Amino acid sequence: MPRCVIRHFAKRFGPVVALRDVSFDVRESEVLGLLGPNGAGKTTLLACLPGLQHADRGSIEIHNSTVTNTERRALFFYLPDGITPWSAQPAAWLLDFADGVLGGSSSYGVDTNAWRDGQASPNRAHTRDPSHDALQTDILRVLRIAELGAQPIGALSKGQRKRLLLAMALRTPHPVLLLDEPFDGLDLQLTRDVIALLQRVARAGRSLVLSIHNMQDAERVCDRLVLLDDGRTVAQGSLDELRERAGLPDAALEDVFLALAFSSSTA
Amino acid sequence: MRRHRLLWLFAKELRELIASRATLLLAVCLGPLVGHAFITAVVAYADVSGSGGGAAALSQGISPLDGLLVPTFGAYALVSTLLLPFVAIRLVSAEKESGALGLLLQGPTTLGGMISIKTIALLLLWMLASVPGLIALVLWHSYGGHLQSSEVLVLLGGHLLRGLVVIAIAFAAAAITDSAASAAVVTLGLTLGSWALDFVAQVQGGFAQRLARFTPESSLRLFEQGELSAAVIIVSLTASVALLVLATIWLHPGRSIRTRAMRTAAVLTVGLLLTVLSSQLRTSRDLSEDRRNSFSREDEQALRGIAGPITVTANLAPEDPRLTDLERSVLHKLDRLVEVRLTTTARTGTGLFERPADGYGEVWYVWRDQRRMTRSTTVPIVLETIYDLTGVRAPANRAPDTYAGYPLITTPRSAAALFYVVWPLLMVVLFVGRRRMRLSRAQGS
Repeated sequence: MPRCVIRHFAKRFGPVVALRDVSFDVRESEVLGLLGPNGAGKTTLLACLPGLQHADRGSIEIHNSTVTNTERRALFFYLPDGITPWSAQPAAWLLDFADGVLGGSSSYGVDTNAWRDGQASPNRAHTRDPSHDALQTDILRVLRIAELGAQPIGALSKGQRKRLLLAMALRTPHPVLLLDEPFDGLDLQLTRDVIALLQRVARAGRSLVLSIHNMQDAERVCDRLVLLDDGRTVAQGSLDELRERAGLPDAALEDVFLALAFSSSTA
Repeated sequence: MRRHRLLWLFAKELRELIASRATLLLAVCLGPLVGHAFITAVVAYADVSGSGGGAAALSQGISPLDGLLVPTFGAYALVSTLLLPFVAIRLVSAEKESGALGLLLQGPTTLGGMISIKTIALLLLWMLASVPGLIALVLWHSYGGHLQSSEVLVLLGGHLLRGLVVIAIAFAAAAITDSAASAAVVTLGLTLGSWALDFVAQVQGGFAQRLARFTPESSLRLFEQGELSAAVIIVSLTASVALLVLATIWLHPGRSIRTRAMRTAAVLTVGLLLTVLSSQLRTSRDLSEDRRNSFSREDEQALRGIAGPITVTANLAPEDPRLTDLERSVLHKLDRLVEVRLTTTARTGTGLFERPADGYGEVWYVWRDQRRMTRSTTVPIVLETIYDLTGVRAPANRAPDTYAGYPLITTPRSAAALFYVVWPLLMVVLFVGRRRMRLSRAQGS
């Protein structure tokens, strides 16, 4: 069942068209992958969804009613790639701060209907349950946050910073989490661990939308995929559905993507 | 107990300020700057008090307000122009450029709330920055110097208000421009612009002069004279709020240029309207000990009975010292009691190169259908003219001016060591020590 429907997003930067027409739906408790080559519009789209970038066109709907700009702030949380916020502050502080300011570390069981009625908000004190607490502990354990301690955020390596920011994002209460390149900078073992963690977070009730370059990672983590090319939605569905559509039943995602992108550009 | 998110934000701003090198620079520089101003003022004060064996200056010359307070706190005018803007710009630009702002905007706190918290944190820093100035006052008191609490409070209030205006300008510049460097250029450009306006006002008079009354420099000058003016306070507050609102409009990356432009136009229109309206206010309080902004109490009581405006037409050039004298010693005081409309009719800026005309130097006072003229710019003669013009009876007796000043011949003992050595070292130890402590904790963990 769709948690929300993204309709006809478009965005230009002067003469450059970043998004032409992007539409897809985000379902509850799923990991959705946004795939596409450089310049396909993935990052722009992720920034437009929570309203951090102005979109020229496009709407978000829940149960056939349009979500306002203010409501988007409570629906989506977007973690951009390559940011270094508050570089002078200690790593451990960031999680406490984000919990305090973004309403983090709360239950993911935010019901979209309740949220629409104003009964659930990022700042609401949610009822804790043991599985939620176990998940919170796992987030910190898997991402090895205790190792980072009081080191200034600006002094962390790229991978360490990614772990810290992922932990922060995963503890926010927003129903839909938008992650730009979540595995960038992580080693192989950690990538596997984070994939398992993200799937667990999704099963706990959240929707995760990931922008990924690496097709193998996408294949392993995503329940469904949205293929973007030249600012357009080329195709969406599960890997099997995409294989069927491309007519390549046993092909890897990379081949499926290339086949669909090629057929879309020649159509 | 769970801390409120606004308290988290406030604590974050304080942490960011403490971690900033710009704040460290401001804290370290304040000691020597205030110290130098204080030491120079104490020595000069002793000179005019007769330390050389000669007679002491007139009472106005040995007022602690002019002789000590204003020069000592003059260091803050310099700091608020050249250092405070950079501290403020960093607080906004660093979050904008590092991606931190994007994270915060996805929380429930509004941008207006965030900017308000930043403003409060910076104002707190600015108040803490007054510590060296307050130390100077304690030293002055220990030398046996006199201080009038109302004058001290008005001056501190003036610097606080100036700090708010500077912070608001810096926030708006940081929000509108792409980088901290561009914001610094815009802020300094606005400061230079206000100085240019002050200069043009001196030369041209007229509208520029009316406008220049509200520049940060001119506003502070009023506080330095011990005067609390409702118009200056409200105009400064209005300008600050308008600039802070502009900062919230431009800081959000998710708004279209059209929305930003429309909201900016609305804020500027409302701000301008409020500024024009509040600039008409004449309510003010003279809190100087020597009542330098007021006529004698008897004259004030009599002048308050005059209904309607008095139009003053001075045939003097804007830079003619007689006009300056007339404005400062007479018209400014009169305007606090009766509405005064001043126009100048000279054709050149200084009057030095103007063909001598018969009427040059004449000052005409018009009230209803009555007109009087005098060339004098001294208080007794102008007041006599106004009483004659309006038919108001001049007071028969005036209490004598009893302000005799507070001469003090002393030396700035311990000040050099305190301000040039102890203060900078203390600030470095506090800031660097804290950073090292955190680093060692990080290595330990």
